Amino acid sequence: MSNHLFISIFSFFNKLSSHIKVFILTLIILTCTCVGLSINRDSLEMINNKSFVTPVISYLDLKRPNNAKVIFLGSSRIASCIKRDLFSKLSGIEQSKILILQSNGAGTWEELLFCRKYPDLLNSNPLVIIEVAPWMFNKNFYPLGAGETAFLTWSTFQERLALPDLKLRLLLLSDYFFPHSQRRTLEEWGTIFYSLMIGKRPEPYNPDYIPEYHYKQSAYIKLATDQIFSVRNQIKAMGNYQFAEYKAEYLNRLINIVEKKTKKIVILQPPLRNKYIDVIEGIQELTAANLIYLDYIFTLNNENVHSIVWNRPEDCGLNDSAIIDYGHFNNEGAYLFTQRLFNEIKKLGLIELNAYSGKEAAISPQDNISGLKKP
Amino acid sequence: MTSKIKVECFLSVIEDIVLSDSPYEKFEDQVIMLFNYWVIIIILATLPVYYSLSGLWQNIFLLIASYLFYSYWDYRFLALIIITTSLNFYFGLKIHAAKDQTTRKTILIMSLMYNLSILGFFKYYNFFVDSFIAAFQPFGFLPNMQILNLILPLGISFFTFKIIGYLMDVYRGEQAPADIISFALFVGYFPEISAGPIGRAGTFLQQIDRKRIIGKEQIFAGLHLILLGFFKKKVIADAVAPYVDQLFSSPQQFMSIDLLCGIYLYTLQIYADFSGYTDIVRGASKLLRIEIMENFKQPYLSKNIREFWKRWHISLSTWLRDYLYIPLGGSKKGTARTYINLLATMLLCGLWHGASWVFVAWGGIHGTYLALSRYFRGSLKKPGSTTLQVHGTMKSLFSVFITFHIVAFAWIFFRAPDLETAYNYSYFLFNISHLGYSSASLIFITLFYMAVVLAIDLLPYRFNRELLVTSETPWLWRSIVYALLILSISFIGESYVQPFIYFNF
Repeated sequence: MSNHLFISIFSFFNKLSSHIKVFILTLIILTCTCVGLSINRDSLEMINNKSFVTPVISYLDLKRPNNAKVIFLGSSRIASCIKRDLFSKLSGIEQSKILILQSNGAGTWEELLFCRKYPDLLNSNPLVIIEVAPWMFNKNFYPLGAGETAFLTWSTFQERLALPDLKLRLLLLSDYFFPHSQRRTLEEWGTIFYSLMIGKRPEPYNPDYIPEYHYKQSAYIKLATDQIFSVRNQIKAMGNYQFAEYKAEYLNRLINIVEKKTKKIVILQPPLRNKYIDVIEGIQELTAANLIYLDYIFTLNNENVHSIVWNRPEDCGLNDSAIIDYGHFNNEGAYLFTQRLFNEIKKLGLIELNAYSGKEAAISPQDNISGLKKP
Repeated sequence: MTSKIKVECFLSVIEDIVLSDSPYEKFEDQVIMLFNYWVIIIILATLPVYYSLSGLWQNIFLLIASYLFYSYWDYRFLALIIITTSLNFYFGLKIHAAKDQTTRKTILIMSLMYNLSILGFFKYYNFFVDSFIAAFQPFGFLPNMQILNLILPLGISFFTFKIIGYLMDVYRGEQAPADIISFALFVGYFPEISAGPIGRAGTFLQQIDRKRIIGKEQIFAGLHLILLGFFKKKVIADAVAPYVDQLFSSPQQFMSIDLLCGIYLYTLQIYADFSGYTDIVRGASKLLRIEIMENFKQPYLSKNIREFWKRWHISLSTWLRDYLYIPLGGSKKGTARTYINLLATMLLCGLWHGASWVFVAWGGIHGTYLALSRYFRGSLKKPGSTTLQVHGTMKSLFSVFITFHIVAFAWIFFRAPDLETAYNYSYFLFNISHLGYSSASLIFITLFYMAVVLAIDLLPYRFNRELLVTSETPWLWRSIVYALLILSISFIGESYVQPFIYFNF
């Protein structure tokens, strides 16, 4: 029966004019290639990654960590302000169980992606600390997140459909069926084929890594000495501020996912340099935008979700000397901030001393800083 | 107060930084990049309407489309094209109606003056003022002349030359004046207006004289040309552009082999970019059943410089031959005059490309090549002269190799932003202290893209046809070629937009 059908189709095809045959065969080749590319989006991104998010995804994919007790999600700012060694000493939690999942410029979508793609992360009932910042909710800043290639690789159809801009939405929806975002230069395709041949995969994210802000301060001398330069560079993220409901929706969904596994969620905004806040407060539109953002963050509070919002360094007992640029912490600043954050979390009752190690972690912050190993 | 100023300063930078840095703009760019695709899609979508109209209405339809297309670029210049069209239409009628030769000539000169002054004002005013000031400055004389912030109207060099060609043909009695709709369409025909080819009135008007109908063959041939054009542009020209930009921005930082690769890559880039554009517009026009002249015929496989100019930018070279070189006397007024005519024609050819001394130098180099080629051709023909005893394929390969390299060398002047850079590039290219290479991958990339261009050109060259596959090619091969072209255009290459090089001219 199937042979008969096959022969019928073949003889029907043979009877067609050559133009129609060309049209049909070309269409078949194109469709097969598009399907092939679509289903291999994430493999291609893993081999030839273009996004800061991908190394983290690679790491989660390879290691499948499922015993973390504290998980920090966020951008480079979260990595710069936390010292795992101090947090470990203070809490008694093994350092390997404190996971900082950061990717440069990450927003709420990236944070959601990590937990949505690897829900096992949350199996060990960890404390989840989610970094937020006002620019993460600006509709006109990185509409697809800083790692836009990641969005093109791992976003769902609904997420594309929810994008606010019509042109962008159409472009991304068309990409869903005809994966034009998979366009790469010939050299990049060459690298992919070469990597496949030799079975090489790029280095995944290393959760033990120490941010450059902590040891390469000279590299940031321009940022450290020229505050206006640094603040000006970052304030762009607040330009044409419009609160993005769809980005807030990512955070809501992330909280929903996390809440199903753990009841300990902190929404954290680490402080920014005073100059940055001065600029925001000096511009009426930005002040208003910041208030909308803060209102939203505070509405998230409930018995499981606690927000800690520190605008200025003084709000958490620090000063500008802890911050290297507009909002990244230097090495000393990171130790001090970790101590302050830990105290705050402890106050909220989200972490129990000795609960994990059975040891008292009673050391003063100053002792910690001088006594701990620095890079 | 100071803080207020700082805040204002921040406010002012917010908008432009956000607009320039955001990846959102990248997506906007992709939409702009699709602009050309959109033109094709619009043409395909409107074909049923177009072919349901009568001949006259087809012309009106195309004229409206052409003016809309031009307005899309900048609606303010639509008035310029309409006024120029109307005036030249009137000049054409007057030249044709004039009874005596003197009146005809006077009207022709008036019309040429009008057209060249418009072109001269928009394209060359600043160049001449700049050069004038630079020439007199060393003598302490500073003329009080102002540089104007002029926008060069899209395609002005192309439609001005088309109009001049038409008027000259009418003057010579080779062309009857067209009706206003046909003439306006000839001037503003949208596939040709931005970067040519410089169409001839006779061929064009003859085609729009009657109702056009289309068959499957033309649709396939048109789409094939469009695909080939996009392939050349996106997969070759745009891919090599970053290397070329880097090498030409600071030639002193590179070794001689790198610089040689830079020349080869630019040689490929300009060819793929311009011939790619021509293929796209020819294909689009084929869908409308208006044939546009072939502008390139595998130019880098030419065996001498004369052949190169018969294969490169054919519409311009034949225009210059018919309306400049021959009226100047061509080769009929003695040897010395022939060389002068060749040089003058090529210098003007260079200047036509842009208001800059590098283009003049490029034209001068080609003028010299042509003059030398003519001289050696003449002396080799003399009885008793010694010739290199190389025959057959080897001789052809050697000739192609030499021609390719002298053409490639001249491109340095075309590409360099100024004469100083062109000099530096040539200096470091031939300087033995810079002998060597800094990147093996650059050599590999250059060889690869050369092989791609050769693969595209060799088959049509060998069988003297313009397309890779024709309706005689087996359907399996045709499908594979079409699919490969579409897949390469869609998935290989840079994602950012590089404007067509000849849009600048």
